[in-house]
Amino acid sequence: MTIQSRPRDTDRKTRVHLSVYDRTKFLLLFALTFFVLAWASMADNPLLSFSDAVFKTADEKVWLLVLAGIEIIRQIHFALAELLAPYHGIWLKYFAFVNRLLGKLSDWNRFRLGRVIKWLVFVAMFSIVLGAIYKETPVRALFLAPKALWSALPMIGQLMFAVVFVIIQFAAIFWFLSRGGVDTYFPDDIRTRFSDVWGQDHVLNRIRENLLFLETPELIEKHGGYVPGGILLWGPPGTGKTLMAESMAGETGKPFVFVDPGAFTNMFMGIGVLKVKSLFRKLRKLALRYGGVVVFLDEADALGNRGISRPAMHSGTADATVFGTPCNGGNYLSDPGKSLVTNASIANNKFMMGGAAGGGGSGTLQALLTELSGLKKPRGFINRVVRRALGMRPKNPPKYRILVVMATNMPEALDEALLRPGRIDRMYRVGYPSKAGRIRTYEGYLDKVSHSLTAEDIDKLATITPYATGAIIKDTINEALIMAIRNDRTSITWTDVIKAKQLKDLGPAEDVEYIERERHAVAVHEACHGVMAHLMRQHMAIDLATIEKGSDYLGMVASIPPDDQFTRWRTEYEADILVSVASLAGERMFFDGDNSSGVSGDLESATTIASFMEGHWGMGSTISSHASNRRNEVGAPGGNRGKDDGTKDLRMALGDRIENNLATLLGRAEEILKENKFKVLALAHALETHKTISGDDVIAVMNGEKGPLVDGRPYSIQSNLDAIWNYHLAAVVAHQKHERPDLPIPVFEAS
Amino acid sequence: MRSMKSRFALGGALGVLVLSLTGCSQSQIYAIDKSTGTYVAIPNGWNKIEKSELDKAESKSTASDAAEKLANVLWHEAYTTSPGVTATQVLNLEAPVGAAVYVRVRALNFNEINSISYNTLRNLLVPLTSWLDDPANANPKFVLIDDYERVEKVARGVRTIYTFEDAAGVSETVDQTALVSDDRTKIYILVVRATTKYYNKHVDKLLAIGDSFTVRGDK
Repeated sequence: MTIQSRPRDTDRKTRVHLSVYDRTKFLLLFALTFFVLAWASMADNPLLSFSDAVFKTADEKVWLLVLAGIEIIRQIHFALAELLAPYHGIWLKYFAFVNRLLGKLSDWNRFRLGRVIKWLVFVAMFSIVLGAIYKETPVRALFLAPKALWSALPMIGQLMFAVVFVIIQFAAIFWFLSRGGVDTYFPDDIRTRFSDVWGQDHVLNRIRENLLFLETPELIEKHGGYVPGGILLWGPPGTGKTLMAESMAGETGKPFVFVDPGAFTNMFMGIGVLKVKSLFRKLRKLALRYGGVVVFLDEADALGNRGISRPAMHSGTADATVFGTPCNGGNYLSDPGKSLVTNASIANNKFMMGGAAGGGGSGTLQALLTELSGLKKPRGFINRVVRRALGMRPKNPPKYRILVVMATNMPEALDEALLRPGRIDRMYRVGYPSKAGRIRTYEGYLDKVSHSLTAEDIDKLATITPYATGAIIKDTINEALIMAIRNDRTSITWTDVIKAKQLKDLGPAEDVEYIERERHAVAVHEACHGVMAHLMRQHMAIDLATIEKGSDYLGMVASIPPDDQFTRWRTEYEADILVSVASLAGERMFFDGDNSSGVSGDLESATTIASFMEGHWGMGSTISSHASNRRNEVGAPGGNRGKDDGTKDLRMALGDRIENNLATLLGRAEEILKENKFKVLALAHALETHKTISGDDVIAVMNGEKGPLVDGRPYSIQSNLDAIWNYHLAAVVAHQKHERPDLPIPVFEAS
Repeated sequence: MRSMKSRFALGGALGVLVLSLTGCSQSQIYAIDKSTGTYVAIPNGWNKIEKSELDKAESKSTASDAAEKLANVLWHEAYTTSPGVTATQVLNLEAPVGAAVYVRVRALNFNEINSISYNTLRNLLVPLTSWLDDPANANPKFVLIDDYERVEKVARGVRTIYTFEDAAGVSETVDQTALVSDDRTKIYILVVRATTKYYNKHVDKLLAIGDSFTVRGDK
């Protein structure tokens, strides 16, 4: 079956029928023109009746009737061609040459010819109208028109002003609103240099390379390359990103434009876009004038922040909202472990954390993306408009050497398109300084003050502050100086620095005195963590232990990694869990099966780590990744649907497996604590006596040695341990009866 | 098929309209002066007396201020029913053959500006107010037919219709409208004259001429 198509024009024997509109449009136009002219006559002569006006117009505007007559003849011709095939055939035969002639013209020439004809027709019609207005011949009227236009200019100007006034108002408001937030510094305005940035040499070297290419672009351009245009500095807060940018401004011989983080946050939609355009117009101008320019956008996540706020993870006290008040359980974890727990907690509390924070505003990010790497379009009014009007092609834009530097501590919140090569060519992680970097930073800040710290002290300080950033180190040294001044000294000692560190890590103690039985319970709780950490966690060293109540904890054992380590192992996570559940195991063991609510934070930490071990890291009984399963919606293995054989236990639901693992580790913790119950009570005694002790003191108690603060030797004497045991039993009774213990805490003389 | 027919019908109707317009003429003669904004409609078929003839006839006047008045004429036209009526006959008070219409706009001189009144306007052709005040000495055939105020957009005055006997003893009816511009710088005059016999026979047509007299003022 063939498909019936509408016949082509060449296949038809008659002309295609015109629509009503096409058949009458010119006649209607002429009729309309005729009646407008008749109406004009009536307006001109108040005595003129409508019929007389029509006759007068017909008499005076014969040309209009002639045109209408021609159109009628044309329509008659079309009608005949539509109805009579022979008639149509004759026309096609004798007038086909017109189409052939037109077909010989190129499209462009035909367009130009058409345009010329249209203009001529327009000018002719216009001159006829003017002639009618001026009562002159059309040609003469055409030459009178400019004079009339000139005399009408004031009124046209007024009208134009009235129309443009509102636009001017808007433009002025938006212009004023789009000001601010952008500061330009010229070479030597800023004194900070690369030598003022410590501990980030690897990043500085890379940045130096970028600046070198900006200063001497021919180094790379003559070989066919281009100057890298964008750098992203990302990393935790306080690691010196802004300082690095400041040093760039000091080092470079080009102008440095600093963009305020809030510059793109605006009251009205569209201002951000204007600001971006205004900023880049300025940058292009500076780049042309000085051969290059550096622009620094601090806190770049403000531009395209579509994620959630992520709290800082370097401080022990920063995770209070996640770990809860009672025991600050997160402190028994290593930092990566804390990071996991915190992230998981955030993921479950997105709404409470603020959810998806808005960025710079609708269109701002897109405008920035376009400016960073959009069309390389010709710029400038003269270049684009005047040159084109004169028939010249606009000049291509020159090479604008603009180095865009962005800094953020939330790289995941940046738009993917922003980070693609061509926009951000290089991404440098400004991480926590290495130990060598920390030593250099400590030395740098200590050089500015008077101190008695030796090179060994500084090395040790760098060791026990593994995640200290430049900002933290600066703050710690300043706090130590304040403590020294408070004690009528001007020189910082080791003790000042350690106290300052504790103050910064833990916050100020609340100077709350526990009642004896609660003090003992808290001490036992922390001692369980301490003993377990000392015995089982080889990848972390105890930094300090305390039972002094802080703003959001009752006591804590803080640990630090002695080495810069980048991988984590199952045994380490198991040790983390053992340290966490040691409090529960210890409380149950020492208080006859009773336990406090203070273990909640510990259990949350332990459960989170156990969940990741079982579901994500292949450290459990199954292999598949829970994250992948959830993403692909394939379901987790387990659910007790397997055959009733040996594999059934392995295929339990994820929660059951986590619970089993935790129970196993809790059992192990109980055994370990049972074997070391005197060490636990000895450490608890040291904590009750001194309240806050260092990691070295913990080791001293464990080994029966003399520590910096605590003399651990009495804890190796059995009679002393018996006394401690009796005190503990009295405290347990007091705990059960809610009364004071019968026995006072034993006091040992230093041997 | 019906739609094609209707298309042809529409096109045809427009064509007939165009063609019919070419063979028709206006129902009246419009005497118009756009510069002074003065309009009068005259019945079709009347004869126009050329301006040059009117100027020539007026220049022959023996009145002392005739030359000055002629110089101040801004526009004047005359129409008659009979082609034999001359410009002089139109300007005289002799009863014309048939009817004559004379329309005139003239600038007033300083004295006229200060002295012109409605009575002055009534007495434009004959001492109308004297005849009314003293009927004993009035024209023997004088009859005042109508007299009322005319207010136009930029001028005001009186329209007076009366009958009197001319020098030759023929009864003549005059429909005169005389208006003075609001700024008292111009006088607008329309005089429709005919023998009383002719007037009475064509009263509607002649009244319509007076009614059509419109003054819109300078543009």
